[in-house]
Amino acid sequence: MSDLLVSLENISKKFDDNLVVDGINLDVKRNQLITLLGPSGCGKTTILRMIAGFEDVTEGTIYFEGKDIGNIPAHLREINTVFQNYALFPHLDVYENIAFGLRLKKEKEINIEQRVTQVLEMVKLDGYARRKVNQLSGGQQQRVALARAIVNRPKLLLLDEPLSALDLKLRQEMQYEIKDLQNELGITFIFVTHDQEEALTMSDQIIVMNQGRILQVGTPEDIYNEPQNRFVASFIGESNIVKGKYLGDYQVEILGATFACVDDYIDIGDETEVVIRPEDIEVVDTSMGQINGIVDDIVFKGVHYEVCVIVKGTELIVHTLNSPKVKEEIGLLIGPEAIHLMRVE
Amino acid sequence: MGYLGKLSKPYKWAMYLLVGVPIIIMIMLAFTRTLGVDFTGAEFTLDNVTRLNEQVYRQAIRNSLVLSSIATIICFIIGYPVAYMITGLKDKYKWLVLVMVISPMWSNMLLRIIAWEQLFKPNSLLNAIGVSLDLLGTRTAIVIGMVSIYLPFMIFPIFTVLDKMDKSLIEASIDLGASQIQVFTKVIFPLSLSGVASGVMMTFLPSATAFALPERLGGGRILLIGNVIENLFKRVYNYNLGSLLSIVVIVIIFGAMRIINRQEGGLII
Repeated sequence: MSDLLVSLENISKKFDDNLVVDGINLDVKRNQLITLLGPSGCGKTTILRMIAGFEDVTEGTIYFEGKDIGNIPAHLREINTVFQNYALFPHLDVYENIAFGLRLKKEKEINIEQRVTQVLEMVKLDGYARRKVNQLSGGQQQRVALARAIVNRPKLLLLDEPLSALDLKLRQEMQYEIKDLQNELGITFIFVTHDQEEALTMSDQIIVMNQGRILQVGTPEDIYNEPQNRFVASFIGESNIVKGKYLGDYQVEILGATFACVDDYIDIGDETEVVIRPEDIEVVDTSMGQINGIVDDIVFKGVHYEVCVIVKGTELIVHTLNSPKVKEEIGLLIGPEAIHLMRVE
Repeated sequence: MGYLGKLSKPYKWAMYLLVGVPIIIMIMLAFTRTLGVDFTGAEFTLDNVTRLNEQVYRQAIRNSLVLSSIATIICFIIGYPVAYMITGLKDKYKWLVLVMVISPMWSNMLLRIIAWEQLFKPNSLLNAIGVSLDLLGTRTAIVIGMVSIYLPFMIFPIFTVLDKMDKSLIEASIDLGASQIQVFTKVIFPLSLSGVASGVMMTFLPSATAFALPERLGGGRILLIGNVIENLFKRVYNYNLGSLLSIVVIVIIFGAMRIINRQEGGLII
């Protein structure tokens, strides 16, 4: 059995004359949680719908376990979907919602009961079998939607922004539960979200998309620490993006000072854009700083203070545990690991 | 109750008055012997109740229920596919077809009944194309009349429910392995039952109580309960039996609605 579950080959999708997905190539391995991350309208949901079979592909081929599934109608694909609005059947109770797919497959009643009971336990809804779905809270409906999909033991589960309607605390809880569920079941999840934090928390691999194209594929660490371009850097987490010049020999000039760095794929003397995460900048005394700046604004964020520092006319956002004072001059230290160079687009 | 709630109070009382008082008067009439609505010297009697068992009244009630049931079923059989088809149309055609469905309702109902009456006569306009329907005074004529007049009332509520239906439910059922037919039988149809229930009520109730329609199309040969009640009030001046029959009709109709509502989990009324 090949390790590869789904392959998208040069997939494009046009709605009328509007190119929504533009020549995507993507391989998804078995037993992983993949996130399609991007702003709304970037084509991520369309990709999901093409894999599920709800949309035709304008161009390109989708392979599922090595076979072209272009001609297989949606109801025959071994893929299940958790919809954004849950799409639970209001005329059926929780049990019958979950049993829906099994009944269509003409499973024996005793098997249905066993499997439904098992998934209800898995999503922590034991005892809710005979509730009406519109009597459930958003979180509970979410769990029913998950249960209804996984009870069919699909090879691939597609989740279309399933947590976007939940409040923050519940969302974080469900993130862990979905991740656990994926580990437990050992099936591949493709998860669509516009929430970068969600993507970082849950994914084995993140695919960052914008305007119908894939901008970067990588682990959450890769995407966060080594963004390949300005869009990825600004979309994932907070970051300072400043112009610089590569001096060669792991030296870069930013804001009029020279810093050591760990990247050297930029040609010597070339302009570069430098990404510095706010938490990687250290606030020190002016005498010890590599560069100095004036504190412009301070916002308390709970764990840290978010400090806006003006350095030679450029704003830098710094996260620090100790609050400086507004208008105070402070020194800043930026270590080589914290400096990430990107080619200018 | 807010500001608007207070504003609605006069109407509420007007409703109680205009619905409640007549019903009370009807009940009083039903169990007494009076001259018109003159209650002086009225005494309690169950005479009217025993008269209910007379052949003519039983037959009229049976006619009403049977013919309006047949008309309702035919309306459903025609109306559901039409409503379903309209839902699938593009917006601009959708409104065109809907207007076509409504437009007959813009002409007077009595006029339409008389139009049917003319067509059902042995000698009608249709002779020009060599057709003579000669249906006047038959049950068929009454049913055709009821279907033609009340069909829009079946189509509309079903269309509304189908049109509002969350398309993601259909996708969800496909996703779970439902074929086209199964999507319809397991999801679309069960979810449209509330519309069917409203449609059934809106065709069954008026056709069960119709009196102008059977009078013109029944040719005096077929009596429906509406005709009998009308006769009792307007020709025989037996307000007492007329009131009792009206109450019987109300009770039967309420019973029917209760049954339909129970099926639907109390979605309507």
